[in-house]
Amino acid sequence: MKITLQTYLPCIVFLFTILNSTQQLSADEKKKVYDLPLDQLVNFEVVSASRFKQKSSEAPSAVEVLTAENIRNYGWRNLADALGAIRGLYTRNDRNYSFLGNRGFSRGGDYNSRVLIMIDGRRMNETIFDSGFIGEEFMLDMNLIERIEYIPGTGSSVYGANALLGVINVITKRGKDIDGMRIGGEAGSLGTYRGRATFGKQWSNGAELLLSGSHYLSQGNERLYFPEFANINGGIAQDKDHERNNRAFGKFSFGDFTLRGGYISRYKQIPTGSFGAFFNENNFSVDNQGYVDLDYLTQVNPNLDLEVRGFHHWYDYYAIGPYNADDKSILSREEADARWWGGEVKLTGTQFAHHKWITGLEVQYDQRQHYNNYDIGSPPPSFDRKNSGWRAGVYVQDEYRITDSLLLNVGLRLDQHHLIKHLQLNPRIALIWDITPTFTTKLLYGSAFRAPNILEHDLNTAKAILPQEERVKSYEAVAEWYPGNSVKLLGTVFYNDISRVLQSDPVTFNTVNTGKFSTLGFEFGAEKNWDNGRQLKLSWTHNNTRDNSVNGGSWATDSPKNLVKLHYAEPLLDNKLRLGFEEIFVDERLTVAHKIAPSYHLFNINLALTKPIYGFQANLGVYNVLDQHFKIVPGPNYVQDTLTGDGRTVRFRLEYGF
Amino acid sequence: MSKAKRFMRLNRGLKSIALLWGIAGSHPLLAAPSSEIQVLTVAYLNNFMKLSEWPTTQDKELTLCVTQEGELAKELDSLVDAETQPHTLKIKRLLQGDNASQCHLLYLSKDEKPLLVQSWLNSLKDLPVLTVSDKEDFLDQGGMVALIEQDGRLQFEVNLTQVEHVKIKMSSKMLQIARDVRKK
Repeated sequence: MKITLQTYLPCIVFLFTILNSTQQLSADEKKKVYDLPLDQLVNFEVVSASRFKQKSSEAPSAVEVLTAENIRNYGWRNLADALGAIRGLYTRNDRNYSFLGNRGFSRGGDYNSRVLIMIDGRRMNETIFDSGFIGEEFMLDMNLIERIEYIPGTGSSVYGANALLGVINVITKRGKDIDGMRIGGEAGSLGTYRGRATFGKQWSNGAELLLSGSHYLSQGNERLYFPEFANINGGIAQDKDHERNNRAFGKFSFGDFTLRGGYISRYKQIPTGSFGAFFNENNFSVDNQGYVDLDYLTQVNPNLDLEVRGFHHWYDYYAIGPYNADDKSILSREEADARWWGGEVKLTGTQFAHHKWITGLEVQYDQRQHYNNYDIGSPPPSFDRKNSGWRAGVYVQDEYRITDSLLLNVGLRLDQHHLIKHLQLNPRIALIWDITPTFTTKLLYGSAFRAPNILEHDLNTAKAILPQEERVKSYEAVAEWYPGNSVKLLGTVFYNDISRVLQSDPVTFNTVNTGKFSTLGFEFGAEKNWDNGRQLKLSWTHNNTRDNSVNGGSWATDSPKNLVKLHYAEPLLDNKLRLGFEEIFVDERLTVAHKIAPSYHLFNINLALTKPIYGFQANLGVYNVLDQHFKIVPGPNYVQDTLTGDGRTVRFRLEYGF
Repeated sequence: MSKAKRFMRLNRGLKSIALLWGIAGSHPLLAAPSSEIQVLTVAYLNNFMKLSEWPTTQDKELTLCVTQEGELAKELDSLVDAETQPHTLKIKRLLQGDNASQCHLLYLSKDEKPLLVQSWLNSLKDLPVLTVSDKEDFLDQGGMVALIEQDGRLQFEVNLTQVEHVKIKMSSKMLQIARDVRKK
């Protein structure tokens, strides 16, 4: 769908009308409540607390959190930028999608299917490739994000499939956080622009609304040089790096109900000649994803919360590219469409002393999982597959406070998935011991699974060889020390045993569960936040990830042994401005062709207003300041063994709120 | 798309938004005034600060400390913006292990680790810091003010022994409204 200004305009005009017709601003109303004398306050009815609880991840600690303030301080342009700042994670963009590596484990072309990506606690991985989008193909603009939670390790004991290496939960802002209308614009290098309108409000009867829409456009690199294609147009992909997206997100809550919905349509040209496409020809992909989710969260009694929800998601994808068939150029079209819906019932209870328990049942019907790949103009489809089926999971978790200093968290989930034969039972156990009030240790164990995606499931020529689930067992020990003065120090030791990893058999090209990987590593983290807003944060992840599926085992591909991250934010001009520095070091990696991709530094600087001036909020970011020609390792379907990332770029953002 | 169709689509869109607007705007007012728990909590804290006097009376700035990020910490930021106090107000976010002696009021959430609550209370035993929590047994632990939700209303109890021990003066009005005032 082509969205023009004509379609936007009526909406904007209407939002203005809503705003003008509003009698009372909630900020004033709140001020009134703050100022009420005690004898009136005691007569106020407390609105059920449960519905205002921010949806937070159900995980036994070890959670890393990025806040809206961090996003502003460091000027992250999209989710991938933000995730790249987290201890143990590394991202790469292959000029089509953004990918996430996790504590040394990264498989080319897995579209983040081994991580669970959530918005407000809702699974966003689609049901064709299981992709979890994080780049401009992710559904949310950064200004809508209240915080990002990252739970390293296994998450299947609560969330089921795909939570193999970690769970990322992106929590959206509330209508009252926006409190009015905000119009924003972004302009930057490589012909990049974004326009955005966001409206948010809470009314006196408790109803709350958040609505946002945006359009993004990037011309990308005019000329991209790939020496591997030197015989075609001198190796230059000319004007083949365009990207654009349209995003919409809304949230409306009233009483105990919350309705959420989101939509993204992303178009990206593919300049790399990947998957055997002709180089420097028009080749692109389009991903459309949307969802609606209706949630009912209520407090049955002070010790029991009940949540019931229903959801419907859809995903459409197509890619068109020119390929060689009998020395003729033919256009090939790959397409997929998926629909899925389901529901969940969840109970959270605190009636037993020292226990907080959660139990739930989640059901999902994969109504349509359709994948097709054919040559345009040739009648018989070359590969057309349709699937459907049920998945269900039942889970229970208990947080047991054994003594004031000892906490045990045990979770267990049983999953049935229509693409695999066996039931999956995945536990997670965490023992948390506060040795002193300022020194905490944690021991964690968990397992998780990932079912094959539709492509892996249906690709095999012999139906007898049906691929089964991948498995991981993870062990971790954590020590946290708070020596005072707002300093936090952290150390971890972790071991991941990943087995039955799906990979393509080099002879038969069948997808088989033959991959075996192991990761042993440790992390250090230090953080200090000053009262005036200054922040210093440092993390170092070291790991040794082995690919044990090859003879005798070897260093896994795309696995940097060291990741070092430094973040520093400094308030300027009486805290009117915030200057943020970000330095990310990614160590050398083994490529698919068994060469070495050199280590690199990414250094970014961002300058932001801390509070709007006359309603204007401005932000200027310079990315890859040192103009490093850093190399990333793309997936196996590339002629190139490494790809070069973007050099120095600048992005300016201006937002007006009223 | 023809223009007529486009108009119809627009019209339909406007109608659905108008309907939504109707729902949001026309809900009958509730009989009793109501508010979200974190707004009420902040209103209480605001009152406690107005109705208490610290022995260090020369302080022009009051520091309100909170130990956890989240909805309440955000709400406190908007209290600062609302400027309802005769004093300047400063919100300080404390991490475990931090010194709380600079605070005038320390709010400890019931989600806070028990060991940590106890260690903070111990370190403030003889210091003029008004400690407030929504933890049920807070006064037994040596805390000063407990916020308690009962029958859908938020009430509070005061441990006056501890308040007087650190020489904080609480107005008689505050003590009258308290559901319970403990004094040995």
